[in-house]
Amino acid sequence: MSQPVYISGMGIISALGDDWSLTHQALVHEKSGIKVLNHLPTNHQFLAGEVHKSNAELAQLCGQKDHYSRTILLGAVALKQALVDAGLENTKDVMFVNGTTVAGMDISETLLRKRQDDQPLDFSKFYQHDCGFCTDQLARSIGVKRAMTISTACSSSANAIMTGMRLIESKKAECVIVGGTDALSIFTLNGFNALKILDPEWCKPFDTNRKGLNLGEGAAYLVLESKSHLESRGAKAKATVLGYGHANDAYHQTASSPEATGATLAMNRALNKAGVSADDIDYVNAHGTGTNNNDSSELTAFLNVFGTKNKAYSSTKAYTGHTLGAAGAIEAVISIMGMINGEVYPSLNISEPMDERQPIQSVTSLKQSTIMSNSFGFGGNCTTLIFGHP
Amino acid sequence: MKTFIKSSAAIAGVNLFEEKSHSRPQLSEGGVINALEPDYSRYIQPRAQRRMGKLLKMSVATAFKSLEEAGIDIPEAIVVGTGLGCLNETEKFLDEIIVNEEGLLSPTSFIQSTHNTIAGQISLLKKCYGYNYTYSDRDNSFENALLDASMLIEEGHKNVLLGAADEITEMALNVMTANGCLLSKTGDKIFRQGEGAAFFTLVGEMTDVEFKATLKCNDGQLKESMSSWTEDQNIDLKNTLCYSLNPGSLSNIEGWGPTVDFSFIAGIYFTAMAIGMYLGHDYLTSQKHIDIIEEKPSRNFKSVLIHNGGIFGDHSFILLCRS
Repeated sequence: MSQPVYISGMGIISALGDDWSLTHQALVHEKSGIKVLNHLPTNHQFLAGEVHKSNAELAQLCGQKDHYSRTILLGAVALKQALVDAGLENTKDVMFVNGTTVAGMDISETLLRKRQDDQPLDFSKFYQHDCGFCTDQLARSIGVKRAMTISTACSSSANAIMTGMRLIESKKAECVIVGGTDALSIFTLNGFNALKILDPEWCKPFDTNRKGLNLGEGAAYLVLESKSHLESRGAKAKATVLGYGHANDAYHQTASSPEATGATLAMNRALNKAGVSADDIDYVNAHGTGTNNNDSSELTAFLNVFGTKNKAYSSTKAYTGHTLGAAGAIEAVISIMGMINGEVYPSLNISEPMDERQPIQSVTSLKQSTIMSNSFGFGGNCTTLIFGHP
Repeated sequence: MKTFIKSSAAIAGVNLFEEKSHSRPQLSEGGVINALEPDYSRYIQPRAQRRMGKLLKMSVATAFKSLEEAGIDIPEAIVVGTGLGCLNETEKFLDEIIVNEEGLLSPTSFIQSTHNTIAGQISLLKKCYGYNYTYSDRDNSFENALLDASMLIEEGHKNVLLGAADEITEMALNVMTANGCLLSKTGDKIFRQGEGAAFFTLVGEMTDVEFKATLKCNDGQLKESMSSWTEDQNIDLKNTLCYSLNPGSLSNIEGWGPTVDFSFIAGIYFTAMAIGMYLGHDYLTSQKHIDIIEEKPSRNFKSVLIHNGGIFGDHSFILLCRS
C-alpha cells in the first residue's frame, strides 16, 4: 500500500465542451457530444466526438498560434485550465508527463495531400509530426523544462497519470502535470475504418447489438502533488490517486484476450497498490469502447475481479467518443467529477444490455469514496487507476 | 537501489550484432548510414520475419539477444524509447489513404504504425504480462526510457528489458535536412543520418557495469551543470572516457578526458545514444575499444560518459561506471 498523491487541479476539453462546467452540464443532461464530422477534412460521413471549435478558435482560447497542430491546441486549452484550477503559478521545478498517439499527424496529412495536387512538398513544415514536438511545445507554453511523452496507444494518458504518481513516490518530483491530448485525424479514422470497428451509428458500449466505436478527440490534464508540496503552497486537493495497476495482455496486437488476462492483472495490481479490496470500489469507469471484442473481454475482467456481484459501472465513450491517447485522462477527470458530485454518468444508447450485470444507464446519485478507471490499448497495454477523496 | 547492466545487443551501420572484427559502414546514396541487417533466423522465425518491418526486426532481434545473454527468458518489464516510431508503416498507410482517396484499405500498416508496436510485439512473442511502456521524446526518448527503467529497478523489479530503436526513411532524411538538423551549428560538420536498435537487460544485482546517472542541460548551462554533476557523481573528467556524437560541442569544457566520436557507427538519429551506451557497456566489460575506433586512448578507464550535444537541441549525458 502506498501514500496517496494529491490532485489539486484539472482541465478538460472534449466534444462535451471546453471546460469543467460545460462538460458537467452535458453529462448530467445525458447530452452526447457525438455528431457528424464537421472540422475534419475527410470523405467519410462517420459520427465522431469532435470538439466543436475550429483551430483558430482553439488558438484564441489558449493563446497559442493557430499554425500548431490541433493536438497541441487542444492540449494547451486543457493545460491552461488545469494550472488555473490548481492555482499553480510557479512551474520551475514541475515535471510534465504527456500522453499522445497522433501528435502532429493532422499537419502531415494536410501537407501530403498537397503533393496529390502536384504541388511540391515543403519538407521543413513536417517538424510538428512527432510526439516529442507536441510535448515540448506544451511544456514551453507553461514554462516547464522537464517533460516526458508516453505513447502507448489508447492507454497513453492513463499511463502518464501512473508515471506522475511514480515520479512523486520516488521523490524525483514534488509536482507533476499529467494527462494527454489527441486530435481526430484522417490517419486514425481510416485506420479504425480499415479494422472495421467503427459503428456507423451512435456507439452503444455494453449493448448486445454493439457494432463498434465512435472516435473522438480532446485533452485533459491533472496537477499531481506530494502532500508536502501541496501544503507548502497552501493549496487544497480535490481528489487523490490511490493506486495504479499495469499489465500487458500478450495476446494480440490489436484485440483483447477472451480471458481478459491483461485487464484482470491490471485491475488486481491497482487494488493491491492502493491497498483496497474489490468490494471497496464504488464505481468503475470502464474502457467500454463499444467494440464486440473489448466489451466482452472487459466484462470477463469484471467477473474475474468483482465476482458475480453487481458493481456500479459505465462507459462514458458514448458521450465523448473514443479519444485514443487522451481517453485515460479525460475519463479520469469525468470519473472524479462524478465522485465529487456524488453522481454516476451513464452508458448511453443501450437498448439490450449484453449481461445481467448491467451498466448504469441513466444519471444516478451515488456516494462514492473509491473509484476505478480502466484504459486498454493496442499492443496489449492495460492500465487501471484508482482515485479517492483527499 | 543501484541499476546494473547485465547484457546488451545492437544493430547499427557497423555489424555489432554478429561480428567480432568490424569494418566501417558503407554510405548509401544521400550519405545515409543504413543499419546492416544481420541474419535474423536465430531469433525470429521466417514466417514472423515476413510480417515485420525493418524497425521491428531490428528491435526484436536485439531484445532477444540481450535477454539470451543475460540468461533471462521472460523479463519482468519492457521499456522502449523511439523518436519517430514505425515510420515506414506510418508513411505507407498515409500514402494508401491519399492514393485511394480514403477508399478500402488494408489495416496491416495501421496496426503496425503505433509507437508501442515494438514493446507490444516483444511482450507478445515472450508472453510477458509485465510492465510495458514506450517513450517518444525526440532525442530524449532513450534517456526517458532509461530513467523509467532505473525507477523500476528501484521499485524492486529484478530485471528490466530496456531498448531504443529508430529507422530512417527518405522522407525523414528530407525533413531533417530541410530543418537544418544535420549540419553543425558552425556549419563545418555534416552529420550522417542513421538508424539502429540497441537493447539492454538491466538488473538490480551487481554486474561489471553500473548505470549511474543522466544529465540534460542547454549549451549555456553546460560548464556549470557539468561541474556540479561530476562532483555529485564523484567522477574525475580527466579520467573518464567519453563517447560522443558531437565532440566539437564540448570544446569549451576544460579538463576533459579523451573523447571518441562514435557518430560513424550508426549515424545520427533520435535514439543514437543507445548505440553509445552499447559501446560504453562493451568497453567497460572488456576494457577494450571496439577495433574500428582509429585513435584509441591507451589508458584504461573505469567510467564512461556517453554524450549527445547540440545536434537536435540540448546536451545529454549518460554515465556508466565499472562496478
